[in-house]
Amino acid sequence: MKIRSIKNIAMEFAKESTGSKFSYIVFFFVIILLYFSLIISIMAVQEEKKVLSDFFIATTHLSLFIFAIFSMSVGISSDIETKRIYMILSRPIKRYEYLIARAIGVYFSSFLLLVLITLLCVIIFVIKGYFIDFVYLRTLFLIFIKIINITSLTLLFVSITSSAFTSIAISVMMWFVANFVSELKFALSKSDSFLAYTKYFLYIFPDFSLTSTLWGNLYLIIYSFFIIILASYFFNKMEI
Amino acid sequence: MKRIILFFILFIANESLIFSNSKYPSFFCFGKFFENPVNSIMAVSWGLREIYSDWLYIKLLQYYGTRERGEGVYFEWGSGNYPLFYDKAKEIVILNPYFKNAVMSSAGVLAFNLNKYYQGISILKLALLYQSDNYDYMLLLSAIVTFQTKKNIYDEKLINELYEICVRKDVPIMLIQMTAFISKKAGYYDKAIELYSIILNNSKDKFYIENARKQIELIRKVKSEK
Repeated sequence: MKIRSIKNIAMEFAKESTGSKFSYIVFFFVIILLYFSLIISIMAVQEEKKVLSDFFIATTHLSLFIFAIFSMSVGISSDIETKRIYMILSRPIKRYEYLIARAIGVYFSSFLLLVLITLLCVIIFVIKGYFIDFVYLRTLFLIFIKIINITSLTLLFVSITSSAFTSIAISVMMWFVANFVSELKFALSKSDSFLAYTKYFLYIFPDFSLTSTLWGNLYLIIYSFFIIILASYFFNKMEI
Repeated sequence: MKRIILFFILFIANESLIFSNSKYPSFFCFGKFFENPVNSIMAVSWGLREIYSDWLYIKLLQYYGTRERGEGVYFEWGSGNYPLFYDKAKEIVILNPYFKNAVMSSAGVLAFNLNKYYQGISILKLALLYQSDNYDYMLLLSAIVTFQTKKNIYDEKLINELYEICVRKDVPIMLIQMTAFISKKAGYYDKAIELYSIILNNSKDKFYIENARKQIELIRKVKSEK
């Protein structure tokens, strides 16, 4: 594996996705949502800081999720459609290196977006006379781990289907399931019928409720790593 | 590749052994669902549990801030029936039991303003399941129980629970004082003496120490007369 070439391609992809029109649209919506948060926080009376920070976290959460899955799926499928991928793969770069570079590029651009949104939030916090606490920063870190996980899953789906629309749709569904899977596990663990056995099927899905523990975060990172390996396998098999 | 897939399956299977459930309560553990189950499920599925609970809290404040009116019905500000208050508050606490202000204010309103003690206690106990070391919740719980004792209503189970909390280490003296007072009022003299002795040994406040000494003497006297 050529780390240097992966790094160069990843940086190129990161530049491409952060400079795209889509990232500007996402950022524009973030600004609108942040403005909206100012109005909502006033209604919470004593809990203004909590509502503000929860709103900022929700905004970061959603915008990063949308940005990451769109950048990943549209990036790879447009590379295939515009035949740009031949140009990249004609160089001494293997398919899995291309895929890893794509993933790192999206992680990096998502991180940049995260930093940018956080900076805006800090400015609003300071204007309102509040300060960011450790819990807020920790939550941002946990959100980033979730984003890494869902982006890796999008990579897998786009490697299997090669269609941007399908991979986005499946990723959104996976996001729903990953956020809700702990509820389903609980419900099935209380069931006496044969349905209780289907809970083992749920272990295939990532469980985002695990981010509250250190081991849970480590688990999600390793899970993402495996998903990238699987995606590389399918991408190698894909007919481009 | 087969090895990788096998390892991946084992890794996933391992999850079931290592991890417990979420830090939040499950929707399904309370038997019945919420007022707006679809909204709650969507909020959790999008990963927006906290902001949705904030939004519900704002709606709860608006509900309680709207004066109740009707034919032949007129309430002053703060009083009224607010029949949906408990369900709305419970929905918030199930979504986010770590939302301290929502728990404290809704339990306080239910117990002191709307005279629905047991619903207030239920909200607090639900939150205490997830934050068993939150002394603010315990203080409010003991305040509600004290409020009940003024009306000669004694809940043995609750008093025992408060006693169990008070004999732990590093419990605020005020909480022990309140529990001791409730125990004395309810006629659990041994428990009251034990709690006042804890105050005697641990407090540095002269008022608490003198009061504890006085109360122990008084309770012993009452016990001997009986």
